[in-house]
Parts: sequence; structure tokens; C-alpha cells
Amino acid sequence: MNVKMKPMVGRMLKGAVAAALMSVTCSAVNAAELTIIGHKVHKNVSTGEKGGDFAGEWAKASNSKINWLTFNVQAIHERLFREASLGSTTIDVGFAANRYFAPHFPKMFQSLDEYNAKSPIENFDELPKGMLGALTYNGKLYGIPFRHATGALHINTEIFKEKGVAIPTTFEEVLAAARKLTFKRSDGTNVYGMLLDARNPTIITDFARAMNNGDYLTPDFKLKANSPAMVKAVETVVRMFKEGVLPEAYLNFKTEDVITYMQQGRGAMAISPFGRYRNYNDAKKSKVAGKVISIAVPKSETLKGFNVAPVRTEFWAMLIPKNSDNKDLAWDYIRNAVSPENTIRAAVNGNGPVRPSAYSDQRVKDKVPYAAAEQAVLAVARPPVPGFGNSAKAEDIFVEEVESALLGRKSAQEAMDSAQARITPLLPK
Amino acid sequence: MFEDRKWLPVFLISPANVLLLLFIAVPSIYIIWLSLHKLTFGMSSTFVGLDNYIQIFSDPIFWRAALNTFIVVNIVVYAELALALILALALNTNFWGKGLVFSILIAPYAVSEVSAVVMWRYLFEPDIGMFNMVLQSFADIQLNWVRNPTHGLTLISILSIWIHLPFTLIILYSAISTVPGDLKNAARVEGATEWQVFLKVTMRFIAPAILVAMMFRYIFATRLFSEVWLLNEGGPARLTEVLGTYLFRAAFRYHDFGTAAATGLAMQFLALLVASFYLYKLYKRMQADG
Repeated sequence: MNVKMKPMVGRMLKGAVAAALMSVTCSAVNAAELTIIGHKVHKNVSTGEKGGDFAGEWAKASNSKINWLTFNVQAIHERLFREASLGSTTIDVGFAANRYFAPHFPKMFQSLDEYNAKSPIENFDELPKGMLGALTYNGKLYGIPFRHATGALHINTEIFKEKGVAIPTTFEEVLAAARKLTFKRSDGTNVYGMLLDARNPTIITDFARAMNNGDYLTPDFKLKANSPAMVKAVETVVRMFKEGVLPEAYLNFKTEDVITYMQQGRGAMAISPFGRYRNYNDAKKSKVAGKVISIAVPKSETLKGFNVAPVRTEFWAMLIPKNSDNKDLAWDYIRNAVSPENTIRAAVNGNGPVRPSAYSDQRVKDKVPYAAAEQAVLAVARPPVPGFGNSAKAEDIFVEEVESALLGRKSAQEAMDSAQARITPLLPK
Repeated sequence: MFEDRKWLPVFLISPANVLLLLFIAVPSIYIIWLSLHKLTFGMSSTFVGLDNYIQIFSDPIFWRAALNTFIVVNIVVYAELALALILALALNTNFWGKGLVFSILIAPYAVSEVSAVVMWRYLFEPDIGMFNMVLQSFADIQLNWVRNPTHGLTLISILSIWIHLPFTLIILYSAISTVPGDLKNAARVEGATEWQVFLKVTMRFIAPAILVAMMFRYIFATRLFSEVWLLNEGGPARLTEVLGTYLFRAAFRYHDFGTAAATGLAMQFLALLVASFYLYKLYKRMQADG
């Protein structure tokens, strides 16, 4: 038996050595893998067709492989923060939205100043100071802005033509057009004048800004939830809901619902970021492809000092978890992704470019129909809320109070007074 | 070592005990520890005593969520039991196509909760939902779960019953199948009506199974989450929030792990409170049966 066992043991040993070698080889290959966590849109604009796959080109040039992990907004941050809090992580680059920026970033993410000093981002000074400021804690930079999402008014021109309504030039005309364009088709389909994402509280800020340049929460954490501008904005949305200008299902409306209704031709207008232009005009999914235009949200007749409404702009930044093993590679990816050339290519793929010069590029002018409008809005737009530790809690309270007003359980003033009282203790002291 | 066989039973059950210790006791102790601390991503934990409990118990939304959970759980458990009992009795007779009917009845258990919620959500969509259109045409009413919290909780209950009915049905059907036929015949010979046979014979036989089904469903139903979160996230205005969604918000949206742990323990306590009543009944019955 022992005689028979010997060759078997030998084979097993050889197998084990081979397996160990394979595992070493595999880890050598895996060492060049870069894992990025973000939204699908981040992947799409980095690998798109119109502007080209600059992420893929970088991977090829750096002999590495990109592993994209894409989730919805909330899940991205939950996973990114969780991974960055662990002893080690496989995530090398994470996208985070400005409203999730919080003072505990320095404990989880790598300060990028040294990387930028050693291997600088091309024309770094062009990146907006405001965005960089929001990513700076204790004088150190923790993220590099990549994308902005700025509010636009999307118009289904077919419905406007059908009902003989002119494209609005003031916010009052927007509201009037929304009423006129709410109707039932002969086949029983309801068409709504306006579509909004109800779970996004910043929509109300858009209304407040378009009518009165109002604010909900200022960058220095002054809460203005019950200011006359905000109360008037809530009253306006409540009135639109009661009149049926907003869909019956509005209280449960999310981004996906707005996109679906617009694609099905069940909405005449929508206020959402400029980037949605591609979704609404997607020939594969939209019944109204080619008929939706995206313009700046018009300001109120009474609002002075602006050409267009100073609506919200939100932005996404790329961060490197402190516990990533691939920090050099991650930095190389980041500096490549935000180079002036790739900012233009991403813009052509549908990204909101964080470098103002991208709007002057002929490729952007030719292939992004809303580029000039977006540039005009970006000049006056500002983030609706600054990031802080309790931002998600505050957001839920705000949405809850607005919904109470929509249900008629509270007046707009009562709802906003309650929001003011409940959110104030959550703000940074 | 095992000569007197005193340690043999301990040794034999030790793998199960180790598993219980690792997967139940250790995490439970950690959760208790967590519930007494303030902890979020990137921050070191701070001992806060009972602050997390005080915070949740003084939050009106927590109590609303607890009340909603209590209402939905009771509707779901009792409606499921009643429906499962009727169906199990019907299935206990012989009829053509019984296998097919049984398969159809247990099919929802194979459907993922996500798919089920999406399906029911669109059936009752206020604008284009098929069921709501039918209700509107025939009775001029709608199940407006988007706007009306009572309707919302009703749809959540319907959904939950639809998904979990097969579980209760299988337990009760198995129990009913084991009721001896000659005992029922003997009762009939003694002059018992069919109702009396059901009440005095069948029900006595299946009572332990009903208790088991009830206990399991109470425990599972208390953890109600996906039906609510996927349907309306506890809206409008958090009026249909249940404890599961309250906990989810604390843990995965606010990253407030201390509060989430305290909520989890409160849920556990409520589930145990309900389960202990049925466990006690079961224990007494087992004692009575010798």
C-alpha cells in the first residue's frame, strides 16, 4: 500500500506546487486590477461611444484592468464608506456626491495633495474652487471633482406643438404651460404638465430659486426651510399636485419614474439634470426620441440680476480609500480621467464637465445640443445643500414634511416650520 | 475519556453548540454592545449608555412604525391562517387537477420578493394599474396606496399574504393529511355533523401545527421589510413605515449603527414577546398530551 501511495503523494505535491504557482501568477495579474465604485452614468461617460472609451484606453496603456462596480446613489455611498472603514478593501477609486461629503472623510480617504504635487493633474487650477473647497478638510484635499449635474427644464416639443403652447421664457409661463398641457388623450392616457422627482428635496430648492433666488440650507449651515421663498415654493408644488398637473403617483415618484413617464410621452415637461437629455431622447427606449429639448430653467419675471434661474448644481468627486493597496494606480486613473482632453470626451459622452473650457470645445458644441444652456446655468447655479454628517436624516425629514403638505395634513407654512425645528438640531454646531 | 459516557452527549452536541455560539451568541453580544455606543463610518465608537434607546423610544416615527408593524403583522398572520386552512381543507379532498391547483397555490413562494412587489405595484398603479382600472370601472374606487396610508398598509398586507401564504398552507395541509380518516368516520357514526367533525376531530389534531405556523409567521412577519421598502419606502410622509424600514434607514441610510442596533433589539424583544405566548401554549399542550 505504501508503495502505491508514494506516486500518489508525489502527484499531489506536484499539484499543490502548481496550484501555488498559479495563485502567485494570478495575484501578479490581479495587482494591476483597478476597482472603481460609482453610478452607471460614471461608467457610461468614461467608456461611451461618441466621445470614446478613455477609461479603456488608460487601462490598456497602463497594462491594467478596470473592474467597475455600479449601484444606485445610496448604495454607492453605503458600500464605499463601509469599505473605506475596514482594515483593507478591494475598492481603489470611489465616486461620492457632494451632499454626502462629511467631516469624517479624512479618516477614510487618502489626502491627495502629495499625489498631485508628485504627479500633477494637467491644468489643475481650472477645476472649480468651490468644488475643491467642499472636498478640503483641515487644509487637505480629499477628492477630485469629475461630474456636475445641473438642473434643466426638459420639454417634450411634440406635446407643446399638439396643444399650440409656446416654449416658456419665464417661470410663470412654465407653471401656466404645465396647467395647459395636463390632459387626457382619447385612448385614456393621462398626460401631465410637469414631472418631478419627489424623493429629491432639492427640487423644491429649484422652485424657490427660480421664483425668489431662495435657499434651503446655505453653505455656512444657515437653515432657511421656513423662509418665505421656500414656503412659496412648497405652496406652488402642492397646488400643482392638487390640480393634477403632477401625476397622481407623484408622492412615490423617483428619478426612474420621471424618465419612464417622459420616455412614454406622458409628461410635457420635467425639471431634472441636463444629462437626462440622453435618456429622454434614447432611440432604443423612448417613444419621443428626438423630440425632447433641454433648456435652462427660466427665471421668474420678478427675479432680478439673473438671465436664467440659479437652480441647483450637484457634483461628484473621485476619492481614494485610505486602505486601498493600489493608490498610485488609482491616482493615475483619476488624473487621466479629469485631464482637459478627457473632460471634453466625457462631456461628449453626456457628462457634466467640471472644466468650464470644455464648453468652448467644438466637439462639445457640435455633439451636446444643450451645452450652451448648461454653461449659462452653471455660471449661476449652486449646490442646494452642503455635505454634513446628518444630511440623509435631514433630507428625510424635509421630504416627510413636504409630503405632509402635499397630503393636506399640514399647510406649507406649518410643514416648513416643523422642518426648520426638526432639522436645526442636526446641523453642525 | 468517554468510559462513563458522561461526556459523550456533551461531545456529540458540541459542534451544534459551537455553531450557535459563533453565529447567534457572539453577534447578539456585539449588537447589545453596539446599541450602547455611538458609531458611524470613519469614527471610533463612543459609549452613550441608553441614549440610543431613549432616542428611538422618544421618536414618534418609531412608535408609528411599531403600530404599523403590529397592525400589518396581525392582519397578515390571521388572514394567512384562515386562507391556508380553507385551502388546505379543500385540497384534502380528491378532485381533478388537484396537483395543478396545489402547484399554482405554492408558486408565489418561488417568486422573488422584488418581482412580487414590482408586479403588485404596477397592478395597483394609480394611473395605469390594471386592478385599479377594474376597481374604478366597476365600483368607482381605487386602492390609492400612493396617497392614502391606510390603502398603502392594505396593499402591503395583500402583498405579504400573497407571498407567504404557501408557507402556512404547506404546514396546515401536511397536518390535515395526517388526521386519521377512521377517527372522523367514528365521529360521524356517533352522529357528529361535518362541522362538529372539523371542530372536535380535525382541529384538535392540527392545533399544534397551527400554533407552529402562527409562531413562525409572527416572527418572520415582524421582520417585514422588502414589501414596504420596495413599494413606497414607508411613504407617504413615513406614514406606512414599519420597524424593518426604520432599522434600515438608521443602518444603511444614516449609518447610525448604535440606533440601528437598539432598534433591532427592540424588534427582537417584540417578536419574542409574541412568540413566547405561543411557545407557552405549545408547551402546555405538549405537557397535556404527555
